[in-house]
Amino acid sequence: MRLFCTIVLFIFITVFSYSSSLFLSKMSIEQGFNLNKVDNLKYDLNSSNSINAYFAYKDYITKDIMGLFVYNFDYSGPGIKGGTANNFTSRTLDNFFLSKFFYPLDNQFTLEFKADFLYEFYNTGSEKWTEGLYNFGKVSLGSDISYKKNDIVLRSGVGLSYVWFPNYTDLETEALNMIEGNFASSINQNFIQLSLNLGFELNSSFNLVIDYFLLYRFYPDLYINSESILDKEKQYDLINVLKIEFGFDFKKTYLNIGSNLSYYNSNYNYRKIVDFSTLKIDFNKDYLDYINLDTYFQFGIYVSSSSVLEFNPYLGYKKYFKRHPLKNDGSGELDFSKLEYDLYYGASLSYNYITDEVLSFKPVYTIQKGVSNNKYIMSGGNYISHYIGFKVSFEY
Amino acid sequence: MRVFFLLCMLLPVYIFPSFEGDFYKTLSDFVRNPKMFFLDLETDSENNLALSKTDISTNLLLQILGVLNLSYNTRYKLNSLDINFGSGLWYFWSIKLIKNIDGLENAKDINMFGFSPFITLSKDLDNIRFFVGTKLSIGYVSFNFRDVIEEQVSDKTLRDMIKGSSYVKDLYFDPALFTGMIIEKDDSYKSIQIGYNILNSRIFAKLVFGGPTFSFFIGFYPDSPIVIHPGLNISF
Repeated sequence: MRLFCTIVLFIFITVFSYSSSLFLSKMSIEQGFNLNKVDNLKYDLNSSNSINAYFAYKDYITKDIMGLFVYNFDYSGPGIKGGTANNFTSRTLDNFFLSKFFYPLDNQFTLEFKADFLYEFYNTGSEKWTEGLYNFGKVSLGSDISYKKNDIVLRSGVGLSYVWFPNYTDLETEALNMIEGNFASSINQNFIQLSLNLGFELNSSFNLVIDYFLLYRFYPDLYINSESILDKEKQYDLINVLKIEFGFDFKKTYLNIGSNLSYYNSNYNYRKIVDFSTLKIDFNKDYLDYINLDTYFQFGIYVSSSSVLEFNPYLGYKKYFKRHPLKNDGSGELDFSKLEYDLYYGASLSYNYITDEVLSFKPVYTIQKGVSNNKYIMSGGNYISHYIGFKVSFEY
Repeated sequence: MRVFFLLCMLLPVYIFPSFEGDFYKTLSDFVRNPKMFFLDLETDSENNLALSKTDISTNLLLQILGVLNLSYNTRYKLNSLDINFGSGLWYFWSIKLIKNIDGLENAKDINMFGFSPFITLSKDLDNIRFFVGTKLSIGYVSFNFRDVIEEQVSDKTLRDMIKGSSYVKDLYFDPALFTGMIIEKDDSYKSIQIGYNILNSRIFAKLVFGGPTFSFFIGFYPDSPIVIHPGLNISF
């Protein structure tokens, strides 16, 4: 997801560094290998690739209104790939369309409207793309207003999204509901999301971007797994995200530091049958509530006019407020004596060489370690992973 | 840089821990879904890039593996738009040789061939040519292992179970869309192509580095048992 956001951000920054009509496109293929060692499992070596293409076009559609149209295709194979994901087997295929319209109110205020569509195919192994259990679609409408004075940009916006999961089923929860006679329950995960964002941007001798997002998700058909089967409380999530990015471009080097702090609050409860013979159920109230901090540091050296060496250490920490980890005895029961935390940290080293102005070759090495007090063998929270990859990009 | 690039891209072809195991897995994948192989073979054997010159070429690596193949690509100019069209065609003659494997003597009707007409529209944008295109993959696959199963599998229940999938005689069609970029300089070119087979929901991509006579490419097929296919083409 961080990669996806970076691509979209890159498109915006590049597009608005020009004033007239503009077409941008980038296509890239990355081939790599993962060497993973998950605790209590053997080393696993596999190959992985990623394929990405985006097209962006902007132009004045009337005398005052500028339109921006973006399509992004992204296939991502398994692997850590610079800390963007911690999955070892799953693959995703994203199709993203965005149209955005800019209407300047005066020299300082600009009103923006946007509509976007994202469909993600999520493949956990060998199923067909169209049959993925976690496939989802998202449509959004939004509006922003921005104020620009000298080097400072202030912005604020609201958005409305609908997210649906066409194939999602949860046979165990359905069975649990039937066993308890709770026929009114639904496992439909579709949700409506309302968002509010506030942003500050400073572009002077250095760049500073601070964004705050407040997201509220409401699941109209999903009842939470309550202690009492008579409760019909619907699920909601409230997510606060604070993003800070700082960038400084020296003559021969550059430095970017960024951090995401998120606070996730949900009324979702965990219920799972841990013994089918006695129908013993483990219950964990407010299972999803957590605070999460992701931080990265990018240090780049311009080795020549056509090549950059980049070092990127990063760290992520997630602390659950009420979630208990699974016992590591294979029973599948919760260990109520602990609260779960997950930590990952790593670093990547890459070298980007550009030739013919549009073609770049980029080898990258990443090492990442994960530490969690959830020692359950299938949770995969304790691991060390090496990734070596090579990316070829054409960019116009 | 070039050697490192080749190593990084090609090593996955050789990292399989057990060649024999993967061979049988690939064979079983072929029997279960021969379509995916014909789509990959076709993409390996065709050259539908927006080349400025007429190109008649063949993939030498596929020839060595027993796949006769030829690709034709020519350009037609329509006002400011360049249109390339042509077709790839291939015939997997060596698959008939599996009858020489002990126990497979009674395999019958083994045939695999296909062709893929395409049309590619392109536009020059400064120092790079951008293209979009479509192709129709047409392939014929047939094999009949019923007699082999009858002879080799003694258990009646198992025999009846696998007999159904041991016979295929199908003509396949799958349209695809693709896009890419190409940089042509003097007699050489570098290109990237990304595409999607619509009916089979399969992604394919290619990196091609070409010279006046030879071109080297790597095909990427994330949904295939063998994800990376290297290729060496010679143009006439």
